[in-house]
Amino acid sequence: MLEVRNLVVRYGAIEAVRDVSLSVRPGMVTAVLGANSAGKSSLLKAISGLVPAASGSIRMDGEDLATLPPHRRARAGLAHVLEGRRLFHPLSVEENLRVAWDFSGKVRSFVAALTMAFDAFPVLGERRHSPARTLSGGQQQMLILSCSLIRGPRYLLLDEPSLGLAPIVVQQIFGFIGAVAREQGTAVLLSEQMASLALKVADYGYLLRRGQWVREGTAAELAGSDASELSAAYL
Amino acid sequence: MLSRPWLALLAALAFGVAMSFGSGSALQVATFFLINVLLAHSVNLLTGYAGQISLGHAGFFGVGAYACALLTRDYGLPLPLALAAAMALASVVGYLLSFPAGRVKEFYLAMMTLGFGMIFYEVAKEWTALTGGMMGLSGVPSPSLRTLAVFGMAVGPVAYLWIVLAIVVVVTVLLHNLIRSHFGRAYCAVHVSELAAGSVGISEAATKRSAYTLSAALAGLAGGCYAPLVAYLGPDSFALSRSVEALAMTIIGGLGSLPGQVLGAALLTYLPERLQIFAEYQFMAYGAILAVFFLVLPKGLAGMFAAPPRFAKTHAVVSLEPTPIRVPHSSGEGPLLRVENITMNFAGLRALDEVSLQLERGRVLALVGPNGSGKSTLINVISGVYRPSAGRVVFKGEDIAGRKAHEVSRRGIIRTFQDPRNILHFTVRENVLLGAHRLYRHGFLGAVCNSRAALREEAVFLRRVDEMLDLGGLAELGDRVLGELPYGTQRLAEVARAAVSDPELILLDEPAAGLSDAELEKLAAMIRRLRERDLGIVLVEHHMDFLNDVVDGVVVLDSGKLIYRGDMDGMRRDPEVTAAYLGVADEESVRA
Amino acid sequence: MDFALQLIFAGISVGAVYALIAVGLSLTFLVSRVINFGQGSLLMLTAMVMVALLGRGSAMLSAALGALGLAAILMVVVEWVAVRPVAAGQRTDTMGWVVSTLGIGILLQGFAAKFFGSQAVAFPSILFSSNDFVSLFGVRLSLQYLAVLALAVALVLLLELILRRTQWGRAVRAVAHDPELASLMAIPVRRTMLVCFVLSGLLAGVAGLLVAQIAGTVDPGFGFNLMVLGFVAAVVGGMGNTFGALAGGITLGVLEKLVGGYVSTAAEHGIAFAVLMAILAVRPQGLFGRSELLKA
Repeated sequence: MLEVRNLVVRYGAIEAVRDVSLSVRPGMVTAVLGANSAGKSSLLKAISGLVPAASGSIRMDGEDLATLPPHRRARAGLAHVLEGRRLFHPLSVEENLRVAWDFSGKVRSFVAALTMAFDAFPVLGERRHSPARTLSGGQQQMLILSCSLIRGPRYLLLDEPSLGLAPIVVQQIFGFIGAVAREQGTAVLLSEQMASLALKVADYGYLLRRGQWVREGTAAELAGSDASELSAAYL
Repeated sequence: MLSRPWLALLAALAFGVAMSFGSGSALQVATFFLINVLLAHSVNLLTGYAGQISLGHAGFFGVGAYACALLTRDYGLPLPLALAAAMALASVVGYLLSFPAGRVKEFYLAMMTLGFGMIFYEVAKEWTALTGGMMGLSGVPSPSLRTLAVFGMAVGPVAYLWIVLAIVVVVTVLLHNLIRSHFGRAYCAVHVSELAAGSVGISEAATKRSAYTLSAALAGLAGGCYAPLVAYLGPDSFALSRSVEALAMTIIGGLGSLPGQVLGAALLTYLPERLQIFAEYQFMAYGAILAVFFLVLPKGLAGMFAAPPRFAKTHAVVSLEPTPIRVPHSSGEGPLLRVENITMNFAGLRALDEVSLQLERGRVLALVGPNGSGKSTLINVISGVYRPSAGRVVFKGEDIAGRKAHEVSRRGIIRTFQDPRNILHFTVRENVLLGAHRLYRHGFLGAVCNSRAALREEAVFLRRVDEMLDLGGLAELGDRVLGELPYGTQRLAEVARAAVSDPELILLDEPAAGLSDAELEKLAAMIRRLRERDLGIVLVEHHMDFLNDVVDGVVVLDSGKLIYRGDMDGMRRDPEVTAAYLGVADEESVRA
Repeated sequence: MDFALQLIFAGISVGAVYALIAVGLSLTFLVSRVINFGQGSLLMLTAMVMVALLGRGSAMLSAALGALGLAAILMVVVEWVAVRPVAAGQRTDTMGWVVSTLGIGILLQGFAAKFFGSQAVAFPSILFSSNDFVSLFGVRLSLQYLAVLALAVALVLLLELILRRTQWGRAVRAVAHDPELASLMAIPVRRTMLVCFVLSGLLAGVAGLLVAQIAGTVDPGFGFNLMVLGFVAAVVGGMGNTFGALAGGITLGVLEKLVGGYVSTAAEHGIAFAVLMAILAVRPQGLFGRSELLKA
């Protein structure tokens, strides 16, 4: 289990995350919802170690991550998909996958990992030798997901995977994320602006507003009972 | 109690007096140090303020040195005229270099300037007829040989030291004034953020050109002073190592600090001398000191010993009564802004799809929509950052689509940025004053000489800045360095910067993001004040409660399309808007 | 005609060494955004140390390995003194690295002058002698030049192979493009940077030995111009593009030799820099295609 307790993230004098606590459980998709600049990205970056936590604790399976640099957290089984579809753009599709696999635990051979990725997204197999920058937005997002998953992570952080993608692609990707959690037992933390969409795939959700916890609940509770409160966090 | 400039002048005098009693070689080194100060000032202007790295300053220095040497030796030109000619010639070279150099950045700029320096060196080495080639050029009228005369009076080493000292003092004072003028602020703005510079009406290309020209002129002056000092010019004095040394002086002294240049030049002139006690280890000791310098003193010499530079003539306000300047707003016919069928394509992605809207004077229009819906893209199109793929942006009857950012800004459209783009080492007041850039009328000479007109103008705008700071609740923070202040302050300062530019249309990109409730109040106060001035405001914002209080109408974008136009209440009830925000992905709303 | 062919051949050999220097320089630049002004002194010192070790009776191979090992260790020091303080504080805009790398260059040059003398010392013939020639298609080719060419090209290709085909090579390309993303892929970014500095030191060292071999002598001031020519090759080829550096280096070498042979040896460097500026003005991204590692 991934447990965040009383996390505070500061950039200089700005408090981007104020006293947030949450847990992410294996086999479940946990959503962090909130508008732009609600502090979702900072929360995820603090978990993966890209930004330091000013206070609070982050524990993965009971182990405190505070002193670990990002690459050690990654090796310990944490994967983080950054906002904005970041990839190694000059490298080919296969090289991107290879770089992701190189420093993983190598639980399966690269060929097996590649087969797995290409089975999930056949289009990546067709484009395996193309530079990543030449892929469409949806294909890039598929590649990014594959890069994270062939490392066999136990925890997967996803930052706004729907951003700038056509709705049909978003549905495909969200469906895939849900399947990963259920079938591989991966604990997924999904940060998303599109609340209704996220709550379709999520099991549990936390609502953030301007860096602060607003409420939490099962996806059904958040989506069903109190739509007005949900939209109040946005509109 | 003496103020710092007077103390500096006193120190310069003391230095001159002390050195006047020194030995011949001490005089020589002291004069060489002063010339290094000029050279460091020159590099600092280009690299420290305007942010353009140079590895070719020995070229400008050499142009000045050879020009002065040849003109005094072969044509008998008096030294002052020869120095002026050296400056002029070097500045022409700098101006010409600015065209290719303006096209490249960072590493490539370093290589470009290095190439320039190397070419100059090769030319100096090979153009034997002019420079004497490797044999060098000797017989330059020189104070140490008692062959130099100025206005018929023989100039010895002591007199020459005083001449160069006077030049250094004058140049330093003029630079001090320049850096605190709108010209100096423009250099810094181009360095820190070309986008922000364009948004307040600063032309990046013209500013860089002027920095190159001026910097080259200063290096030419330094070279001109160098020729008589040494009496003999060999090409090796202008090799790459000289350029690198000049850059090292500036960096060690502290980029952007005028006193730092004096300290840096002193260190690099006198350190090798002092290290002579290490005899054969002298060179190694020198290298070792440079190598670990920034490990030991990460802030450089200026960071240790000098106050940070300032960029406004705040004393102007007390010394002069301002006379207000008004920019007449033509209140022409028709709407202030009409956006007509704007389409913007990025490599296969349609960020804006036939968006049209219009805005009257005195109205506040909110522009909302989910992430990636095209709001910022639309702001970038209107403000001239992007050239739209199709459509027109009509401002006061003129189509401005595709104009450069600084041209748009000079017409009266001022914007802020989603992530505030301020100059973090400026104070709050200096940052806000930057907004007035497009309104300044006084020229370069007025700025460097602190003419009465220049000071009066500065005072007028400083008053206006103070009004805006009051309104934004920033009055007591005016003299604080912005980078040390909270994010909310930085956002408010950027809005204030836009406001003091006397705009007719103001585009605010998420001004409320990250503000506390108290800061939101102040932002709202500033926006209301702006609306009273009968100008148009476009607000991109996610913070709906805030919008409620200040806007007259709202436009909603989704995936580059305009999906709603009307008032706030209607927007909340609009099913398409709700779907866009919450991503209700039922079959009807799936538009692939 | 023979004369022209010989010039071209010599230019290709020298150019291949420029390329070697260029790939070493750009390797460290790409991962750290720091230009190592001490690289030239490193070239020189490796050759000087090799001469000194041979003078003390070391075997050829152990002398070469000793000198190269020193180059690698010195680059670790460069990383520690000149790069890490910059990276740690995010203070690249103060450009302290210009001063620190320059300082290291001066220090090494002073060291060489103190302990090996400031005069040029003869560099022994390791790869054949300067009098060995072969005749190929009627052109007399110096065996020494041929060996230098073969070695330099082989090393550049080997580096390309390492960057493409090995785990650490891919890590280098990943870090050069996006260090943050690389760290999320469990790549140890700091260690990768260190690998680059060591590799860069080895490349510089080999280049120093090869140039010394062709030149026949080495003196403390010998590295600086070579480093600058390496820069030019890197820029002409497009930073971070290995094959581009090879093409850029060879273009530069041939151009220099032709100008030197037909116009004047005095003009050859001037021409090289004029070409550099012209290329930058017209194609800021270098002559040979896009900068592969740098841009998206």
